[in-house]
Amino acid sequence: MKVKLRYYGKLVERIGKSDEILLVDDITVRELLSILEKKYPQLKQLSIKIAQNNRITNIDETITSSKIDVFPPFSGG
Amino acid sequence: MKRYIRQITLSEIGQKGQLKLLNAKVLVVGAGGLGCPLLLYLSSAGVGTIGILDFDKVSLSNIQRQVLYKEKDIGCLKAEVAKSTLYEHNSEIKIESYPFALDKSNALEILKSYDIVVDSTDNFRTRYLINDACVKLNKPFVFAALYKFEGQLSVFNYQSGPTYRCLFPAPPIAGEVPSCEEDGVLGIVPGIIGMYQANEVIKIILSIGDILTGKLLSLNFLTNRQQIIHFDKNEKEIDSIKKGELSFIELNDCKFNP
Repeated sequence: MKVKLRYYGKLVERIGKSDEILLVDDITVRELLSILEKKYPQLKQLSIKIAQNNRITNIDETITSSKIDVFPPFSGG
Repeated sequence: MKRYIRQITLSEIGQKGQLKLLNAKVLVVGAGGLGCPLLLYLSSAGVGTIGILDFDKVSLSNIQRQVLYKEKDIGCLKAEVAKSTLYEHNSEIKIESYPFALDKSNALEILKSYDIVVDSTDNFRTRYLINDACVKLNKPFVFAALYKFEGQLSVFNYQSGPTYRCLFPAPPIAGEVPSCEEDGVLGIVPGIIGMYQANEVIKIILSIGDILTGKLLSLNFLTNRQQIIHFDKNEKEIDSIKKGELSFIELNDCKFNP
C-alpha cells in the first residue's frame, strides 16, 4: 500500500522534505516508527506523533489510511 | 457598557454575554509573542479580571513581535509594562501582574483564582506544570505553540476533556526541541496564533461555538494549510496527575532561567 507521509515542524528540516510516499504492507504504527527511525536516524529520541484519518493513533494500531501525518510537539511562543 | 456596544450587538454575545466576559477571570502565562496580542484583545473585549505572569524583562529583540512593549520599556518587567499598557486601553477591568516564574510552589495558589489559563509560554517545563496544575484544579487551559511558520493549538482539560499529557505524555529530552530563542520567528505568526487563543478564551467564557477540546489545530502560514487532528483522553495519565505531587520536569529549554 502506498502511504503519503506529511511531516511537520522540525521534522521537515531533520528529514529534508515536507512529505514523501512510502510503500508499506499491513504494518502497525510502531513498525512505521521503526521504519522511519532506521531511514532517518536523526529522528531517534524525538517525541513523534502519528495521525491517520486526522486522528492520533495508538502505537499498536494498523496503518490503514493512505495519508499519514507525522509531527513533533512545538514549544515556541 | 457603551465601549462594548459593537460586540454586544452580536446575537452570540448581547448584554448577557458581555456580563459573562466582565465576570471572567483569565490568567495568561507568558507575555511574549503569543501573550502580547491576546492580552490586548482580551482586555479590549472586557474580560473583567486578567492575570499576567512573566518573569522576563523587555529586550530590544522582543519588540519585533511583542507588541505591547516600546523602546522605552527595555529592561523593565514585561508583566508590569503589559499591565500598564493594558490599563491605557481599558481602565475598567482588573489586571494583576505576577512578575516572576511559575513554579511548583506557586502554581496551584496562583491558578486557583482564575477560570481559564492561557499557555503562551515558550517552554515545555512550564507547559507541563500548567497542564498538571490545571488538571488538579479542574480548569481549562488554552494552549498554543509555534515552530517558525507553523502553529499548534488546543484547549486542554476543558470540562474534564483530554489534557496535554494525553497528546504528549512524556516531555521531550532536553535540547530536543529548540524554541524561539534560537529559532527564527516572524512576529505575525505568534500574532495570528495568539488571536486564535484569544478567540478560544472568549468562546469558552461565552459558551459559544466549537471549543478545540480533544482536537489539535495545526496551522501552516507558508502554505495556508489548516488541519484538525483528533485525540482521545488518556485516563491513566490523568489519574496519575491527580494522584501525584505537582512536579517540575527537568528540562533546560528556551528562556527558562528565572
